[in-house]
Amino acid sequence: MLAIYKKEMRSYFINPIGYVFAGVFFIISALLCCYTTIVSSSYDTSSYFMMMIFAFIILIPLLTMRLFAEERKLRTEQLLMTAPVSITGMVMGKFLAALTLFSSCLLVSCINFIPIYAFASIERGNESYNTTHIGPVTGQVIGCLIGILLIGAAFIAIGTFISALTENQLAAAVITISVILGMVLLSFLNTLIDVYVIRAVVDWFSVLSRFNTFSYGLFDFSALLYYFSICFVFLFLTVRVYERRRWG
Amino acid sequence: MRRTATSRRRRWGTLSVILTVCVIAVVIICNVIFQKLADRYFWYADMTSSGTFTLSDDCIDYFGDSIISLVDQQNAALTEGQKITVIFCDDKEAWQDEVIKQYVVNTVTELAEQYPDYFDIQYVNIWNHPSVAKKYNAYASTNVVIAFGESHVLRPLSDFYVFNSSDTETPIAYNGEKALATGVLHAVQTDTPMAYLTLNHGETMTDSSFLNILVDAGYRYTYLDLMNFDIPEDCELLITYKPVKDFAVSDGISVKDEIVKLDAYMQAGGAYMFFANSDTFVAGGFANIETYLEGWGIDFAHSEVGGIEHCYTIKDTSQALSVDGYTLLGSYASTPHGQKIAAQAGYSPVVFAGATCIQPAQGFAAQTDGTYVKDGCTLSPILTSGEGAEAWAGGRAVANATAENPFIMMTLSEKQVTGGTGYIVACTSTTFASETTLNSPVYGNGNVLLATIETIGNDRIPTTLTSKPFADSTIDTITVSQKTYITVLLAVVPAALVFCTGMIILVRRKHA
Repeated sequence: MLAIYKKEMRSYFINPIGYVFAGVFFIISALLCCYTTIVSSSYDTSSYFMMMIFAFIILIPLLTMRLFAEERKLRTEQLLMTAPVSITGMVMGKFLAALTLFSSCLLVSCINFIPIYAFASIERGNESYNTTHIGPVTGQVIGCLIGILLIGAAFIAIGTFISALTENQLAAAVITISVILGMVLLSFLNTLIDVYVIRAVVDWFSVLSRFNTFSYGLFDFSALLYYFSICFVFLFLTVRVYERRRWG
Repeated sequence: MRRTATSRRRRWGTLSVILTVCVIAVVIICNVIFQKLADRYFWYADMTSSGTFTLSDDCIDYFGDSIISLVDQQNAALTEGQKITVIFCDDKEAWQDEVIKQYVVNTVTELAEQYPDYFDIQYVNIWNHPSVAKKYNAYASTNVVIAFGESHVLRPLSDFYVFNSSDTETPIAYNGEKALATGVLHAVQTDTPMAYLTLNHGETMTDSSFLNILVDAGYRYTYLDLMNFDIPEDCELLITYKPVKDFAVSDGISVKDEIVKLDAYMQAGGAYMFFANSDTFVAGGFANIETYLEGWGIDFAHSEVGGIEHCYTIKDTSQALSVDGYTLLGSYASTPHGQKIAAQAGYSPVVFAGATCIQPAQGFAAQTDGTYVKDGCTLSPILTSGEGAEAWAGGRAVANATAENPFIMMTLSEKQVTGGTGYIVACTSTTFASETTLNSPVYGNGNVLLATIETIGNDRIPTTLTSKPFADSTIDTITVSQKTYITVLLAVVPAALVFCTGMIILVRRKHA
């Protein structure tokens, strides 16, 4: 698995894809953060994180579309499947490489919070008698960061699975965008459904509904399990697809 | 020998599909179970700055000490015990789709978890159940009904929050614990104490915040024309707020005597609150009420300037919140009552504006604990000025405060009378109880008022339950040019660095 992981990480940085992804990620995150906080004169970062989830709909498929589709197109997947590495190790290696790039970009994008913390520090100094908390709530920010990290991981797992189904990278990207968009927009469908049971089921599967608690300031452990479960299910399905292909 | 574990049939056949479906089903079931357990045992972490999602120990203790005993008393006479029913007037999911509703749901749910034998929670969509709406007069889906037996209290969602006077749409603090506690208190206690506000001396009670404080203290309130009506027997608190005319006494013109009525009420063990202001409390114009209050140790300080008596107006530039120094922070007195109220108010700063001054009436002797005593009547300063304050009257400074003798701005007098203990609270600034100060999560005026009312009246008031301020989320000091500069800097520099690094590495690799 480690060999696959290193190979994938290396390929991100010897090809333009890694730099393009990182650059576009930084531009989008900076613009969204500045628009929702600095330009709006607000310390509240919940809107930024919500909009980042929508940005992931476009960003993450660009990262995952080539994971397996490229291997199939270049006919190098036979090498992978006959290599002395388990299917699970292969899938996990590729998934973890994509996740590492994504989480590194997310971590670096935290520099966008520096200006608002700086302004908060200045205002706290000016209003030293004020007992109200001034500035972003760090606990809430960390909770939201963990939340969107796991959402990103879940989307990467979905993208990995879809990439394994097709050899066409564009098709993989489009299908991934559609699936992720569907999962994100599920919560908006609730307003159109009258039946309570169906609404409850749809709401249960909705990614955005579960993230709402993070933006409120409530770190929801059941939501963490949900995102981990999505990762597990789609990686499991990817492994099943490749096992069928290997032994079929 | 066929190895079932690695057989082709197991790997990609029908069995494989069944296995996959089973794995997914197990994952879903685990998630459902975990979520139910998380909801049941509150497996959440509260990341807010003021612990808004966390039920405070004070709230748990208050319900345990005050409310539960009341409920037990009520239920002792019944064959079947009653529970406190909290009804949310909409479906459960509707109460979880906005954070301002989620806070309230969380508070009630955690409280019910603490005292499951005493609480029952219901979610009733009033549009689908109009009979419930009619029964409780609840016609908004954001209402919360607190019912106990036949009595109930209706709380709109806004009652659970504190708002800025300039913006009634955006809450600045969460006050759900106190709103819930006072609502339950109202519903459970059968003998809701009555507060009467006099209105025949030109009183102008325009700020609803003060009335809300009375409601929070567990009182129902109404108005009283003291000239034409006696003080009712159910009056537990009498309030005169910012009078502009004196109290009537029986003289050669009229037989009506308000002071006699007031004295009779006080002798029966009454509680009276008197709020005055230096701009309306004209010296010499309130001789009757001032004379009466002097019997309780309260003497509003005057000074003669240019042959005219003027009330003091306190000015303190060292503790001022305004440029002119007349809006100032009060200091808690070292008297036992002063310190008790200070502790209950969390030693929060309190604001006075245009305050006049009280001095101990003649004959009241100073005690070592800071109080003044005469003939069984004890005058306790509650709030004073700072030691650098000045008293102005008639346009000139007439007195200076010292560390030993600051100007007294709020007092509590108590006297053993025929009917028990009588209390009079005098406050020298009506701004102390104005909407701006009472609604502020910064100043402790509201908490001091509640603590004072608890001292003289209803001892079940949840004075220890304070509001939880939200973080200030507005950047006040940023300019347009700074916004532009920061946006361009953050959007361009990191991306440019990455692209340049990528180009360098790729070009070097190409030519390597």
